[in-house]
Amino acid sequence: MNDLLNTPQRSSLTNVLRMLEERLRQAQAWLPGADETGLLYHHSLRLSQEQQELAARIIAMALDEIAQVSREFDLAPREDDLAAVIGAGMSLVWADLVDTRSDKLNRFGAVDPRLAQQLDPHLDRLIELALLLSSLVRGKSIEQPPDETPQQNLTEVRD
Amino acid sequence: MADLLNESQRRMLTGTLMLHEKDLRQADAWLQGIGVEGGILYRRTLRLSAEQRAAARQVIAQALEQIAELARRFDLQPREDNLVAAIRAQMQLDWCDLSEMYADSLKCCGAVDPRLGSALDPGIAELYKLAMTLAHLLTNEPQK
Repeated sequence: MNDLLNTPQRSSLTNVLRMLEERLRQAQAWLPGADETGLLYHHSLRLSQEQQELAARIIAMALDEIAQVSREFDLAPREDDLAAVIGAGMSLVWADLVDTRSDKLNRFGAVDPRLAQQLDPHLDRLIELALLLSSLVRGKSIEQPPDETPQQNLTEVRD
Repeated sequence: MADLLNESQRRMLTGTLMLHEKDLRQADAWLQGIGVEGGILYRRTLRLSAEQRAAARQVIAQALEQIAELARRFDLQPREDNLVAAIRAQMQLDWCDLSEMYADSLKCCGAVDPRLGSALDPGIAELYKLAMTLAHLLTNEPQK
């Protein structure tokens, strides 16, 4: 059945099924009762044993169906370079962190004059570390350890 | 320092840092080899040397320390995420996407082979039904 789809149709079908597969596998991983506590979030999943088992069966059936459709239409898996994914994510967060500096928070009301001193150095360090991480996973050389010459590292990454 | 931010500013700062924290923890898990296994329609690779991984994890640890310091300094509170609701919402998104994958809808991407409907639609219908069933199952959460 390989010849029943043109290239854009194949691409659309592959993308939709891949996203569904990723979400199903994420749900599958959460099902045993994921409880994760971070600094600024707490994830919890509370299901009865019966719900967990039923959900696991539904997910397994859906994954079987995806495998079958993929086989029948010869859909090829996509290669995800996680280093690129991490690098891109860190580059994106750079903009979000810049938007959270004290001078940008006046969009949300008057900014306390003491805020800049308390907030901005930490955000600047986070921005620097995000760019450094992006650079590291993309294989760019970092000549100095991250703690020693922050401004130099930041310049290197931007360059 | 908690009084230096109004509610909107606090929400903005908390949201940005929380998303960053999640990205950092996901990256850290991948760097440890957790969650890098592939599936049917995707393969994941992380080609980094042991030294690169260690250096990256060190940077992540430093970033998490900065977030912890900001959370402490400004008394930022963790957000509760209900994963059941997240799965349900994701399945609902998938219904919409799957409904566009029936042969008839694929006309938007060019002429549709007349044999495609009978070959593809039953599989899509089954996936659609399973996604709906899963979402429906998760609408009834047990009492906490």
